[in-house]
Amino acid sequence: MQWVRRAGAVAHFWLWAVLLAAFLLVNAFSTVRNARSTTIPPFGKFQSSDAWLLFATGATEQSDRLVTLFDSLPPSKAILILVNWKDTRSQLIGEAVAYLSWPHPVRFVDALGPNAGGEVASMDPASVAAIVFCTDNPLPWLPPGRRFASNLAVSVVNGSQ
Amino acid sequence: MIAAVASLGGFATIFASGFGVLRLLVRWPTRLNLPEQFGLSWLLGTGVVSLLLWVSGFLLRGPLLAASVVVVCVALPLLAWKISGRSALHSQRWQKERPAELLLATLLVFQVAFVFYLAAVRTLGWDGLLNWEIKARYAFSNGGALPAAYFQSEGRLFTHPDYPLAIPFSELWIYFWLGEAHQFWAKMIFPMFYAAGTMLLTSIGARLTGKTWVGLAAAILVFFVPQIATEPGGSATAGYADLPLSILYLATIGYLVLACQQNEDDSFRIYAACLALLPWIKREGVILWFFAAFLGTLVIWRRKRRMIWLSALFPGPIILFGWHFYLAQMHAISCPEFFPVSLSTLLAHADRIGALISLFASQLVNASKWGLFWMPVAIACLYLGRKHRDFPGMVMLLGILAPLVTYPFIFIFSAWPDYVGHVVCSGNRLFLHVAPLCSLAVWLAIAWCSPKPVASETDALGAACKNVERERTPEIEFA
Repeated sequence: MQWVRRAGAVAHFWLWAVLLAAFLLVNAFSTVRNARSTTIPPFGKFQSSDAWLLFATGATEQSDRLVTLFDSLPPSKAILILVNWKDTRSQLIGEAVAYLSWPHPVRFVDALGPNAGGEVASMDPASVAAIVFCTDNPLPWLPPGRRFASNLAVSVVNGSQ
Repeated sequence: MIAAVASLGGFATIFASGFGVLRLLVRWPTRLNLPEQFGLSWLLGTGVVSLLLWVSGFLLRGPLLAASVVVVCVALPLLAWKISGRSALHSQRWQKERPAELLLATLLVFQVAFVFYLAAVRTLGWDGLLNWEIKARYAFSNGGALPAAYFQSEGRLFTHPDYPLAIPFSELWIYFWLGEAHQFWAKMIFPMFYAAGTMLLTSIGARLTGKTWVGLAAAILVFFVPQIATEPGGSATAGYADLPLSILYLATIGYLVLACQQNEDDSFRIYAACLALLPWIKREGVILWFFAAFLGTLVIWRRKRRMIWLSALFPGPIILFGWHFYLAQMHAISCPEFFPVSLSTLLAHADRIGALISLFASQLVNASKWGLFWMPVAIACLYLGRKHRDFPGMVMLLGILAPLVTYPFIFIFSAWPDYVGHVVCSGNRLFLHVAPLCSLAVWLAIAWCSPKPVASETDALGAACKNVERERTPEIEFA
């Protein structure tokens, strides 16, 4: 039975040697590729949200500017965010704005919805501090507001600032 | 520079509290080596600090809250020292390693350093920012407690206000030390989890087999799994809770297997502490808690331990029910991602089963996320299954297979209109929960099932256990 044990040991060794060699060969390539795909973002307290907004809008260091603007508005008043839910970038911008606009309550409106204009028009100006457009084409009948990027503009409601 | 020193203070207090709890748990600290204590101190410390911040936040705010938590963090190791005397500061003696093991250890150090570098130069992932860091930021702006308005905010429902707080409140703790919310420093807790995981893999692997190289090889293997370490959405760098959960699950099952193999109480206590924290990291931790608790019950029954050991299962549900009671008191709104589990829902969505199995199978062979990782894992599971008479091996095997088999089927109850999108979005992250344990299983299969005389050494109590036995003296036994 000695030869059976020996054959088992040899089979065990080669099975794992081949498996682990194949694993390392394939995964080492992925590891190197992932490591090389890194672009170093600027260091800062809004490093991540800036990077996401840069990806979605093409504009740099937007987080601090947005926070400064929202901080200047009455915290109890809501921020209305117009988003095109069919556009991932628009959705991403809207959610990033919601993240940065604390402690304001936020409300999302589908910018392409059949009733988007009606929803905005029906808002109570006393309860809304600003309207954020996360789309390329803000509602034409509203004031243009402060443009942060081609697809990000904030219109402060009269009397809020 | 000041921020780096301040965040080091945050890390140090997390370690101190975890070290204190660890030393209060174990009766024979000399059985634990230093890396093992490092890993466990980090895991337990993040749990303790986040729970303390949450509970103390009911009464205290701002500097008072931070000061009270610092006092507890410092008091815990002092209490352990007071109770257990000088032995509280002792650990297993350093053993001279072989050159090959030193080489592997050096490689591992470089890998961990590289993960720290990747975490530093990458940003938080979308969920890392909007599910986890957001809670730390809002709690910090409110003096350390999440505002009730956040739980009731319909506009921020997409940030899942009902997710548990272990990760965000660990980040919050760093914010307290920095004095400001800072996205760069928040993400640095995740490579710490990775480092803790590698140390636990090394230690558990070495103790189970009596060979240090086995543990080192298991830890090194993990680095080559993109989903864990290097992939841009990988958990060690993107700030997701899945990596911390996977490391905690590794510790839970790893120490249960140790307790089972060596029939010792200290490992079982560590298992119980890690088990309690599983539901506090992420909601899926409840599923992992269920399996780990079942396996713990099995070990208690099989090893004929007293029923009092079943009390180890209680802290997890207490934390879970406490959290849900708190959510109810806050009138938290939630966006249910799953339908309630019921027979009618199961029957209504039974047609999903085939698609789910196919979807998850395709996720497992996703080369950019896993490479060939699951191939050696599958072979290792066959090896462990073949040794069905070896109870510790069976515990390990069930700890791996139970979540892997269950996860696809929970999507039968997915409330997303597009359940395929739900799977694609979260499938790989769910598999990550068992990945470190799988890496350990691969090397255990190689070492345990090796058809050499080694098998006879590991069958009874294991070589590591024999070392421990040798350390025992009649005086120690009597004590």
